[in-house]
Amino acid sequence: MLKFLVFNLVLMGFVSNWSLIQVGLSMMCFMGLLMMNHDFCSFCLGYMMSVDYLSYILIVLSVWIVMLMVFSSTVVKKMGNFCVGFLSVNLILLMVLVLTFSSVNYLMFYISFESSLVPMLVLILGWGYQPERIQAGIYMLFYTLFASLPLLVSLLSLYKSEGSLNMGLLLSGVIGYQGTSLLWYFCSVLAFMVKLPLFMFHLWLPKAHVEAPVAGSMVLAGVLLKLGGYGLIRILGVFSEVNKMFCWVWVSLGILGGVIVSLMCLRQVDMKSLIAYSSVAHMGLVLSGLVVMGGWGLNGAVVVMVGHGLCSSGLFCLANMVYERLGSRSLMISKGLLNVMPNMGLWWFLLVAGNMAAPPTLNLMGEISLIISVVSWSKLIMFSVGMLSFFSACYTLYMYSLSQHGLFLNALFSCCSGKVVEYFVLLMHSVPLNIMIVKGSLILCDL
Amino acid sequence: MFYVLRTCSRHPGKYRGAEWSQVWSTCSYGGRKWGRRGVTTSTRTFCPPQESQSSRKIQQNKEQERENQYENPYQSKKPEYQRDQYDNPWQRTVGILSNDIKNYFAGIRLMFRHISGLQGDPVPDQVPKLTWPSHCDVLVVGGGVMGSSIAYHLKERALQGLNVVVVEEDSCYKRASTGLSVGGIRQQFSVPENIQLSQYGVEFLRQSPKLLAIEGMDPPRVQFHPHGYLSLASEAGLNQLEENYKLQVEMGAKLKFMHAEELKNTFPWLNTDGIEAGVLGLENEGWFDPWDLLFSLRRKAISLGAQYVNGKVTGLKCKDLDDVILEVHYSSPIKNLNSAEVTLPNGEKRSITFAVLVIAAGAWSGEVGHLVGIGDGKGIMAVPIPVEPRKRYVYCVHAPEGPGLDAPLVIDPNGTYFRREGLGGLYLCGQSPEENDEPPIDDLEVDETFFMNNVWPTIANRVPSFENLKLKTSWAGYYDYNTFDQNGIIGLHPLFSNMFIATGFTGHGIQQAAGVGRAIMECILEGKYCTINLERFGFERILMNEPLFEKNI
Repeated sequence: MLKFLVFNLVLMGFVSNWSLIQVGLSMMCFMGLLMMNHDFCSFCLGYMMSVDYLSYILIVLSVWIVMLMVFSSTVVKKMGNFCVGFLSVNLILLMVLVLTFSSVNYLMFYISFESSLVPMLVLILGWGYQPERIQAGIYMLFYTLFASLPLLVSLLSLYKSEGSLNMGLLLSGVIGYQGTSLLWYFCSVLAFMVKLPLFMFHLWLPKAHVEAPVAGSMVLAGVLLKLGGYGLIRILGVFSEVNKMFCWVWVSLGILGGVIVSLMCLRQVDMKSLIAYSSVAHMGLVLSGLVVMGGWGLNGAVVVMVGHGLCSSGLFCLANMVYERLGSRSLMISKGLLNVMPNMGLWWFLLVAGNMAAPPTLNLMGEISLIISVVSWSKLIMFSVGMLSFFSACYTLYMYSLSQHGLFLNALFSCCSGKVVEYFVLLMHSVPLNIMIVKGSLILCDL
Repeated sequence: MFYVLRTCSRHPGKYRGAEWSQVWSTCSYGGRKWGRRGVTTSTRTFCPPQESQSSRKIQQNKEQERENQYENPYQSKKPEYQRDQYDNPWQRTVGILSNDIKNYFAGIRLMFRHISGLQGDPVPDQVPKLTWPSHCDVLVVGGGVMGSSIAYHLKERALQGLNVVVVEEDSCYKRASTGLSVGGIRQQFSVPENIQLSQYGVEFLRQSPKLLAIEGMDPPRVQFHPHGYLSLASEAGLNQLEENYKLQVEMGAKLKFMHAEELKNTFPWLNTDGIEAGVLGLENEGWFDPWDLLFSLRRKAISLGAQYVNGKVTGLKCKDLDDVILEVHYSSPIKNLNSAEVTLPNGEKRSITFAVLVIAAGAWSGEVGHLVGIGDGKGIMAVPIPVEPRKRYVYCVHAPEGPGLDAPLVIDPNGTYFRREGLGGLYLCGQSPEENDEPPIDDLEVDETFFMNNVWPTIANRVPSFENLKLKTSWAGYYDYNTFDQNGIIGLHPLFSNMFIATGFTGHGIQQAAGVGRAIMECILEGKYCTINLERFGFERILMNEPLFEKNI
């Protein structure tokens, strides 16, 4: 993994040259994808970093999304809004993300996990539209920060009791399911629940998304939420006994919270907040699949994480394209877009189909696996999962129809139907989403 | 979870009433819902005359009245905006976080003050500043009754869905036509759309205690006096009066056509020399308090989430379309406005980006048009927004033996009008001067000789008991005079794709405000006029030279 980090550091030296960074990031993607033919054991070992199939696919996703972020932030370049700072923040974020996903040591994972907040915050508050309005700074920072302090305590006590924090060496896990183990479990898991985000702790997400610039939204939806999922996968193995006792909490919150949040989606009038709430619903399902500790669940979670990363990030790109042209994100004004931007209608539909897990997108495979895993844990939950899937189709079609069909704003005469760079970004989002289902073994774990 | 706890613990001490609409949304798109911690109350954004009764308006000089309301030093402080428009993103990040923390503690201190019941004014330094709305969806230029009505209708339909900002130069409305108007509302027009607009206006006034009510505050009291209008016609105007009467009855107005004999019987105080007939409005006509309407609309719009900014729009910028070329006619390029530069009272210049602009600046709309070059170019751009301020005088007289309680608003054939004001024998009267006799517009000084020479003789002739009246006070206000055809201009400008115009009402703006507000809301949200079709009032009629005159008697 050092090759990624060194490449990244070298790129940081050339931030004054926007196109060079674009090309450099594309090269980094290519470099990453070269290793796709791994054999599902740990590889790229060295320097306290290693990668297995899960880390690998998430690292590829991070580099992919960051590359697409830079391509879709042409407004920053055009307005000359501190491009150097912008690119360096992005590259620092990428470095931290690669470190997080490739770390072998829980503590190093924790430190990079927390450090990803800083460039994220600077990106949102510095280049956002009007972050002063929402006091989102406090929300985003302190939600995640305070929730993860217990995680630090739990990791340190893990070190004390086990003697090492190496991910490979902690397979015996914490024995016992009462008293200290209980507290230990909740402390460790809380941070990831907030990051995912789980239904009751999700309030920071819509705020952060609405005010973030497109780059911020893309990386937030695309990668940072997956940090929560990834961390859960790593940490649940240590606490498997306690988890078996309490997975019903997470499953209920995840699925039922997902249903409630999907209903809230139907009431949103801001495009970006609609997509943000849909992320909460998706991640709720992912969480439920994960905590039931089954093979199907694990695979489904990973697949949905990757698929959702691409899909949500693409939808945020589209919402930003609308905002750039119309000046407003409100669905009451930016509607009937099929009349003025018919070409974008194709991309809207493809990504919207991804959001509702329609075939042949990756999300379909993941959602099927997750439904199988969750229903195998309890048959009664079939109703809620059914409602979750149904409403996810509801709000997605609602968003598509409201923004594309019908009368368009008569205060808009015309606008560009799509520039080449925008087509490129959207293509790079939808092609992996639709093609990867054909060779699902690229992502699925070979258990 | 945190949201519920925070809502409950927001007002632990005094109940101050809700300053926001009762409809909540968890994700507040534009709102500062999280707090009373550090957020200003809506009452601080304007200096409200709490009791805007007409009698007070007349008895005192208006300037003095406003001075008295500055007793509370807290209220007199003009709102300050946070100086957080740093360009540098690093500074901006640090600035926002530190402001957040400061506001949080200031809010906590405020809360403790209320819990412990301290009544002292908080030290101004501790009061956190407002956030400048640098992005909005709809920007309304002008916060008079028209702008406030547009903001109210938009927010009422869209609630949290649209971010509406109203830029008003003078939050005391000293020169605005709204407050200085006589406040009449009538259906006796000759253009059918005008009749429909007034009909909706009356309906709105009747419903205003319900529609514009805010929990915890006094309901609006527009004090609608439904005493009707009496349009008198001499022999020359009789035909026109009959035609208008027929149209108005067709549109559903309840009127009574009376010949001179009947007029004399119904109104004994009326001198019917030279009058052939008159039309009296039996229902839905009369006068009301325009101040109250303005402030109720404004207060309700603010409570629904619209933001009023005290400043003047001094610049408008177009979006730089580098990927499309839009041309209409004789190479007139279509432009899309996207940002306005607002100059604050302290000289600072800030900008607001918007998606839709609405010009409701009343008498000064022509100037706003000139900011983007409407009137200074070639072809379609050569046609300015034909609205200019014209001064009109209103005189308040005391006539102890005047007409009495049943007197409607009487309009003489030569345009002079008078109406009863209050119960103390006071009457308001006025007249539109001749075209070539227009008073100068640089100030609002009143010319009493105009009263002596033009108004008094007419009303004394019409109502003999006005012979011995005394002129008590007078004021002047501007008409947003449409030099083209003296009717409103409503709709999109053909070349600026996102600029709506709602101005030029020439004296009947106050009665059409509610209807026009609703019409603009329908244009923006639904793309067409749904209830009253105002297409004939569009800007195009000026380009095509098809004036829409009111056929006056």
